[in-house]
Formats: sequence, C-alpha cells, structure tokens
Amino acid sequence: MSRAKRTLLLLKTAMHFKGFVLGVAILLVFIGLSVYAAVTWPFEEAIRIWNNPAYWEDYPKFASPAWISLFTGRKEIEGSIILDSTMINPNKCDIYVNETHNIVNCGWLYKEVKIVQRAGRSLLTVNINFTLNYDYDVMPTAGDYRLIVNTKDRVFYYLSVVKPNGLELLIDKGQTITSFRGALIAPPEGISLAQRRYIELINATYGVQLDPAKIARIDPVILIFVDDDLLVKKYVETNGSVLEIRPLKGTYVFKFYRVETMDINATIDLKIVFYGTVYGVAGTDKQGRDLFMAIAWGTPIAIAFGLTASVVTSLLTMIIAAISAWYAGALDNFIQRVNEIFMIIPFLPTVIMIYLFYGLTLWTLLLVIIPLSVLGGGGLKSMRAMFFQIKEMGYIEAARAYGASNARIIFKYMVPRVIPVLIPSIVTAIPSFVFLEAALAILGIADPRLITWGKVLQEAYAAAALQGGYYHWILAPAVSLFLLSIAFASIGFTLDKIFNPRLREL
Amino acid sequence: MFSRYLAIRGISLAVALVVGMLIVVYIANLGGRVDEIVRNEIQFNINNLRQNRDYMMRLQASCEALCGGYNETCVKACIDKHFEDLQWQEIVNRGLDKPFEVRLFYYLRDALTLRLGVAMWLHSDAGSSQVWDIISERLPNTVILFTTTNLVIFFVELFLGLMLSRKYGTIYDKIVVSAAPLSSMPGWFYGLFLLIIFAFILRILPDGGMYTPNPEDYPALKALYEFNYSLGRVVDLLWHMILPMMSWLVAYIPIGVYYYRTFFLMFSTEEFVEYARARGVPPRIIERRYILRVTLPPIITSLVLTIISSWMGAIITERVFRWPGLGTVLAMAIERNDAPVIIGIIAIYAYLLVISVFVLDLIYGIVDPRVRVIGGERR
Amino acid sequence: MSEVLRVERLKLYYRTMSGPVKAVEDAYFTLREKETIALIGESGCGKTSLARAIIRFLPRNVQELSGSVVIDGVETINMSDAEFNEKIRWKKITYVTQAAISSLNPVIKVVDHLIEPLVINFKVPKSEAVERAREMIKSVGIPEDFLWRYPFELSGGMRQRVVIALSLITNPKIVILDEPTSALDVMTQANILNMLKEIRSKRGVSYIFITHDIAVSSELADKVAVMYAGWIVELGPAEKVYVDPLHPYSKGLLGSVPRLRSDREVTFIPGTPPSLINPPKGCRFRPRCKYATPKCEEVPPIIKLGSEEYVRCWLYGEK
Repeated sequence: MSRAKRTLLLLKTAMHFKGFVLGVAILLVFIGLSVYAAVTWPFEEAIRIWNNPAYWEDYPKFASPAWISLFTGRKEIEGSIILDSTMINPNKCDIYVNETHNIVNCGWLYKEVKIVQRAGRSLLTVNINFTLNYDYDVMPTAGDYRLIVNTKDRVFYYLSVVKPNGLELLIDKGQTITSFRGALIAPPEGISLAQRRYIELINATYGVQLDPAKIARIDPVILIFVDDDLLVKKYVETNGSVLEIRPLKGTYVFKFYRVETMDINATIDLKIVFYGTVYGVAGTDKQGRDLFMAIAWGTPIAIAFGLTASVVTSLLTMIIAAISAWYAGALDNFIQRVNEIFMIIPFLPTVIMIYLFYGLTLWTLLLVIIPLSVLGGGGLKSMRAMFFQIKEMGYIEAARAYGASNARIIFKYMVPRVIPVLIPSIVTAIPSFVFLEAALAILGIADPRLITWGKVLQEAYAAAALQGGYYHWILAPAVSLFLLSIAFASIGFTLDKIFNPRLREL
Repeated sequence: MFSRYLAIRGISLAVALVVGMLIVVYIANLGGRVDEIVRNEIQFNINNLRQNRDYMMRLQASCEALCGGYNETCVKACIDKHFEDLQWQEIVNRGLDKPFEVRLFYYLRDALTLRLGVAMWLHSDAGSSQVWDIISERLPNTVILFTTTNLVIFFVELFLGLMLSRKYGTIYDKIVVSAAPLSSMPGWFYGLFLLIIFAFILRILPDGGMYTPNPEDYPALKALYEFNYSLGRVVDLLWHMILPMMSWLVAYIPIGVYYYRTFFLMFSTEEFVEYARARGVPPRIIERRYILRVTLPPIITSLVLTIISSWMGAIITERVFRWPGLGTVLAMAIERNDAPVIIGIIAIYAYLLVISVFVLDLIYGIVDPRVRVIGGERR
Repeated sequence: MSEVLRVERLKLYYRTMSGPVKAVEDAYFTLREKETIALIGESGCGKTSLARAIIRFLPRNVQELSGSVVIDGVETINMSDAEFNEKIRWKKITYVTQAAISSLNPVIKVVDHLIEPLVINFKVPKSEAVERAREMIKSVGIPEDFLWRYPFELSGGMRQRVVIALSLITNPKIVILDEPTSALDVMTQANILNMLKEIRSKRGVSYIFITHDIAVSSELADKVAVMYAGWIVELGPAEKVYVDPLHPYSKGLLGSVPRLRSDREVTFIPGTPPSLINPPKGCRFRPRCKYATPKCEEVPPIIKLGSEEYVRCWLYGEK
C-alpha cells in the first residue's frame, strides 16, 4: 500500500475514536479563529492597536462578555454609550448656518453655536444638548465627559443633566482654556461638586437630608442614573442605612450651557462616555481592550509556538539519539554525559536567568527552550534505546554491507522507522509547550510586543482580576488554553493507540 | 566487574556535576553583568553619602583637621581620597577586585563544597543573610506541600494503574483512558480554576498562603487555636493545603494512571508474563514476581527523581497560591540577580540529584541480576 | 491404549477492527497415550491457534471458542477459567513455547522457575520440589549447577531445555510443543529431539508437535495433521501421509521438501494463503488448487477413508 493510502486508512481508523473527532473539531475551530484574526486585524496592525491605549479609550473597562446577559436576564449596556457633539451625520441632521449662527439638530444632539454681542464685546456661546434614551437594567460601570476645546481665551461652562423624573442635577461647572477630561467617579477624599449638588437637590425635592459621608462614596455617574424616588423611599424607610441604587429608565437630557468664550474662533465640543457593562465575545480588560482580539490572535501564536517547539525538539532528539546509538563508543559516551549535565541544570530557572541576561522575543525563547529540552530531557535516553534495537535489525546490516554511508543509514533507514512512534508524542507534547509559554508569561518573561494568552493571564493576575470578580479576564485565556490542550491531547492519545503497535493489539 | 562499573559511573557523574555547576554559576552571575550591577550600586550609595549634609560636614571637619586648616586643594583631595578609599573598600568587600574568571573559579569551588555564603540582597524572614538560613527556612514549606503531593500522586497512580491494567476493557478502564487528556494542563492551571470556584465564588477555601493571617476573624478556627495551638496550626495548614494539592492531583494523576496502566498492560503481554499465565500462575503472584519485580527499578528511579525535583518547589504554583516556599525564593533571587542564593539552591539540588542517580545505579545492580553480572550497559 | 485427548468441531475466531479472523474452523483429531501427533502447515495456517485453544493460552481478543475438547475423559470447553486452571492447566496438559529466550522471567533463577508450579499448583513442600527440579534438569541434559543461574546466563538451546523441563515437571499427560527447535541450530535440534524421544518412552507422555519443518516432525510423529487456512485438510498415520499424501495441498507441501538421496524435482504451490477474515467460498484451498472443480465452491466435508485417515477434499467423494 502506498504511503498516502496507508495514512488515509489510519485516519479513517482514527475517526472511530470519539476523542479524536472531538479534538479535531476543536482544532478546526481554533484554526478558523486564527484565520479570522489574521484577516480582520493584520499582524502589525493588531500589535499596534493592542499596545495603543488611545485606541481603546471609549471601550468599556472590565466588561463581561455580551452573552452573559442571557444568564443574568438583565438588559446590559453593551459597549459604551457615547455622546459626541462632533459626530454629525449630514444626512441625518438638520443644519442651519449663517454668519452668526451654526445650529445642528440630529435628534439626539442639538448643538447651537452663536456669536453674540454683550457689553460691546463679541462672545461665542455654545449650547449642546444630548438626548439619551436609557432603558437598561444596570448602571454604567463608569463615565466621563470630555471638553474638547481649541481656544485662545477662557471658556466658561455648565454641565447638567435632566433626568426622566424632571430633576436636574448639576454635574460640573467652571472654566478652562484647554481640553480636559472629567471622570465621574467619587473623589478619594472629600466630596465633589456633583455629589454636593445631589444632596442639595434631594433635599430641595424630597425634603430628605442624605448622609454626605455615604454619598461621597458613590460615583456621580450612578447619581446621574439612579432612581431617586426609590432611593429616597428606601433611605427613609431604613432610617438612612440603606441606599437602594436602581437605574431610572427614560429620557435623559444632558445640557451643556452658559458656555461662552471671548475667542470667537474657538471650537468647543463635548463628548460624554458612559462605559458599558458587557462587550463582545470575551469581554474587556482593565484598559478596555477587547479580549476576543487577544484570544483570536493568541491562537495562531500558541499553535505555532507549541507546534514548532514540539516538532523541532522531537526531531533533534531523534537525530541526536540516532547518532549516539549508531556511532556508539566515545561519541555515545560524550552525548550521554552532556545529557546528564543538562539534567542537573534545572530547566525553568535557567530559562528565567537567560531571559534576564539577554531579554527574549518569542523566537529567541524557542532557541533557548529547544536545546534545553533536547539535551536535558529523558527523551534522549529512551530513543537511544530504541535505536539500539533497530541497529541490530537485518536490513541495517544489509545496508552496511552494500556500503551505505553512515548518514544515509541514519537518515534513510533508522530515523523513518521511529517517526510513526514519534508522532503521537509530538502531538501530546504540544500543550506542554503552550503552557510553558503561558507560565513564563505569568512570571513576566514574555515578548513585550506580542499578544499571547499567557500575557493576558499575567495582566489579569497582576490586576487582581480574581479578587475583583472579573473572572472573564482569567477565564477567557484559561478556557482557550484548556480547549486547545484537550484537543491536542485527545488527538495525540488516539494517534498513540493507532501508531503504537503494541497498543494496537489491545 | 560491577564495582568497576560503579566506579566509572561515579566518576562520570562527578564530572557532570562539576561541569553543570560551572554553567549554572556562570549564568547566575550573568556572565559578569552582575558585577556591573554591584558596582553601580556601590557608586549609587556613595553618591547618596555625598548628599548627606551631616556626613559631609563631619568629613569636612576631619579633613580640615588633617590639612591643618582651611586649605581648599588639600581638603578637596582629602575628601576625594576618602570616597575613593570607601569605594575600593566596598569593592574588595564584595570581592570585585579580582577578575571575573578568577572569581568564577572561587564561586564554583564554594558551590561544590557547599559553602554557600551570604546572599547579596535577599534575606530570610528571620533576618539572616546566610544562604543556608534562607534555604532552610523556606525548604520545609515546600517539602510539606510538594513532596507530600508528589508522593500521594505517585502511589495513587502506581496502584490505580496496576489495578486498572487488570481490568482492561471494563468501564473503569474506558473512563480513565478518556480522562487522560486532562493531564495536558499543568497543576497551576487547575489551581486557577479551583481558586475561582472554591475561594472566590463559593468562598469555602482560602485563596492562598500557608496559614490564616487573622484567625480571630474565624470563630471555628479561633476556637481550635485556643483549644490547642499546635492542633490549630496543623488543621489550618491542612486547610490551606487542600486547594494546591487538589490542583496537582487533578492535573497529574490521570496521565500517571494512564501511563502506568498502559505500562503494566504492555508489560503483561510480554512473552514471559503470558507464559506464566499459561502455566496457571495465580494473578497475584504474576503481579508480584513477574511484573513488579522486573519493573521495580525504573519505577523506583522515577519515584526518587520525582521527590528530588519536588524539592525545588513549583515556582508557578507557589506564585498562584502565594505559598512561601523555596520556589518563590528562587524566583525572587533570579529577579534580583542574587547569585549566591541561586547557586546555593541549584547546588544542593544538583548534589541530591547526582547522589540519588548513583545510589539508584547501585540499587539497580542489586535488584536486577543482569546489571550485576554483565556490569554493563544501562538500559 | 486409552485416549488422552479428543478434539471435535473446534472453532476459534479472533476479533479485530477489520472483522472476525476465522483462525481455526472445525478442527478434529484424537490422541492416545504415548502417541505423538504432528501439526504441520505454512505460517499462519492456524496450528499455533489450535494448540493454544486446547490449553486456553489465548490473547484477549477472542470472539468465539466452541466445539469439544475432551482431555483425559473430561470435557473442558465449557469449563470456567477457574475450573480449567485448577484441574487441567499445567496438570494434565502443558505447553512449550517457541521463543524460550523470552519466555523465562529474567530476574528469577532457573530453579525458582521449576519449583513454581509444584509449590503453587500442587502444594509440594519446597525442599521436595527442589529435589524434583534437580532430577528434571538432569533428565533434560543440563548440568545441575545451572539450576542456580539466571536465564540470561544460559544458551538458547539450554533455555529451550529448561522450558521443556518446566513442561514436564508436573507430569502431564500431554505436552504441546510449539516449534520447539525452530530457533536452534541443527546439532542442538537433533539433541533435543533425541531427548524428547527418551522422555516419551520413559514417562509415557503424549506430544502435540507443531512445526513447519516437515523433516523435524517426521522424527517424532505417529500421526500427522496437515493444516491449511484454519482447516485440518488431512489427518492420518505418519507413514501414510508423508509417503503418499492425499490432499492436493499436502501433496504440494510434501513435494516441496527436497530429498537427500533422490533427484526429485522440488515443487511449490503458487499463490499465497488466503485472508482468514474473508476466506474463499467453499474449499479454502480452491484458489490455489490445480485439481479444483466447480464442486469445490461448496465446503467439502471431512471424509473418512480409513480407521484413522481423514481428508477434506471433494476428490475423495462422499462417504
């Protein structure tokens, strides 16, 4: 039977095993993922995006995967709510321009830029209204507002929100000459303007005095969206011990008003971002980076790394073992001693030390791991034993008799004999190399540019993701590692059953 | 002659030890880069001194006294000389006055004689800088967790594997075989999952460390401690050992059982084992006399080697569980380029390895008559 | 002389991934005290399977073992493993393997091998067992002090003798010898055959002698069974079968043996033995038989020609 036909028959036999089929299926999914990644974000671009925090600015941070909402039953905020006064779509907005007025009305956005005369001076005034329909069951995780100004003179401004229940809360007021970003988070100490205003607002509307100490710890973004009726009722009921926070659904209007500057050529824009709770297939990390991208791009890297490491290590081990067995004598002895020396040198600490010595990229990592694994592993001993057995076989003697060179005997007769037995162990070894890379990444030894699953794990661990309850951050790479390993291991075990002649009989 | 074989073996192992240690010592010192680091540190310290006003004032005063008054050039020279002397003194103290190659030799000699010296930056929790102290403080922690775990894994996989090889084809066998791929993931990895489930979601097991830092907060534990302090410690320890141990058990037992089951299975199809069956030798005796007796040497070898490598602790598992063991010390030492500590740990490991390999060869000879008689080739 | 073994309709199928291998189909023969039957045939014809089926020395993937095997008057085919081990195995019938080299436990001394069945199966006290081992080792022609050596210290021939000693030490009625001399040189072969003859006359044991070497078998055989593709195609007294074989396959087989003292031309049978997963319809030898007729597409019955002569071939009509 020809080589091809034999392989086909073996594959057919393999298909009988459920483990094999499952493993191949998973592997195909990962390969598909790799292709998707390479196509959607070409390599250089992917790395650039990943390492560029500015790109992820508006993405929700620590967001869970979007499909979580199926289980929580709540309407989650997917992605972020972005209200940006520069996002004017001419087709969908009414625009009216003359020398003194520039009015844009897009429904959700109303922006009015006017030049007025006051006390003999020209002033630029701006009014921006965002209308937001909020019907989520959850609060945003965070929020910020950004003033984007290009001006030569101070800009005064007020920013407030009109909630669906009619209450108007002042968020911020002040003046600025540069662009800046204000985060709607509770200050580390003391109490912010928005929070103070909130207490006053509640006092004025309901006659209830909220405890400033408690309010000071609540992010203003929550105060914006909270259902005040509910809050106050519960507060009163429990005598001030419980602050019930539920989002108030309805239409919110954000008012950016009494904005004026004396530089009539200034440009003033407002962008408000409310960061969502869920995003994408795998959620996001601390910087808001889409973890799916990391998983998708980590796949080909993991597979390539594991495959290369495993194949090259096995091949080299095999060749050295063959040479050792064939030439025997002094060369064999020498190789054995070298093997023992490298067994004494512990693997992981040495890799770490070399990293500190030279720094490592992914490929130089391979250059270190492979020799250490080949020379210091037990594989050499067992393969050498196998080759000794093969050496005694008749056809080797025959080859010698007809004058075949040593190289020819080794590479054409001895090595191919062993390859079928090798294949299962190559496949089964792949996961261990993938995990090795992950382990090193967790210890901080990784190629700084690349995106690997190990790096994601390391970052998650460094950011105390577990303690923070952001399980998805750890689970995304962990589950990927898990599935990939199971896939390779199942395939490897099945191949072992098929290729290993002794096992076949069983 | 067996003794000649042993002698040759001993010598070659010794050679391997020396060469291996040399490589380690070289790498641990970053091929000389550590020197630069140390020199920079000395310089840095001296610069700090120069900024210290009190120190400079006193130095100024004593130099003026030496120079007999306020003689600018003389005082400046005196101050500079003072710092030069100081620097040189430090360099000599740290041994940097001799060239690297020479010191390499001394490091090697010290490592081989297990004179492990003093750590460069690290120190033990008790405050000692002696490398031996640092190691012996942390070693028991590692041994308690990892050696125990490894032993448990070993015996479980051996006996389950043996048992399973008898039950080939039954449902148990099929379950174990399909569970084997679970071991493609290392222990620390399962550790992460177990931590998430038990420590963070269910909150029934601790999330790391060896003992509870604040037992007063846990009434059951507090009561136990008050009842009997040692008992409390032991229970607390065991409580903290559960998760790391479980993660290793789950990770390494499936493949171990699979391996030994296959091993014994393939072994039991050996001609002489089958023939013994044909002769009606009862299964128990076959197991003992035909299978175990013959396979014992390699099994014992792997047991001994496993115990020895467990000793270094598993760096990553220790990090995941914040277990204060030797692995963490090693990782820290590597991060800080603390060469004496690195060399110390690896030297002890190397010695243990070499000695046990030698002893194993000896035992091999006793147990396997072929080796004794032929005195030759190790399989 | 009484009958020690009667085999009838013995069937042995193995289970493989490509389907059942019909290794032994419808085997039949009888063996009396002190009688030797030679099972001859090509490699893979089923002779070893047949012998192993009788003593239940089989691998794990047996699909079917049926028929009738009566050892010393007791039907054994339906016995449980426990009963077989207790009553029959290594007590009434023993087995000498082909590869003595790998059949002995490398870490156990020769004497321990020999006393093992006595001590375990017969509960003989150790000292007595050692005495019997001494006696046994001498009767197979090995010096006594080799008892205290390990198997790897013995030559191939010696190891074979040890295995033979192992098979005789429990005084069985039947010994199956599976190609006992195939791995040995001619001189040792001759010595061992002589030893076997001696033992047979001294101890009155019956042999089932399996071999593909026809010359060797002719030394010992009283009866011959020729096997092909899992069938016993011819069974008869040695003189008859060796000199004047009846079955076309036997003719071809025996014709392929060169004679020392005659100038006869050596023949061979073209083709190869059939697959036992899908044996040919009807007579299994039909594809290679030069006498084949359309009738041969039906399975030929076992035709009795004489008191102890059987042939499985349509050429000999129906009786």
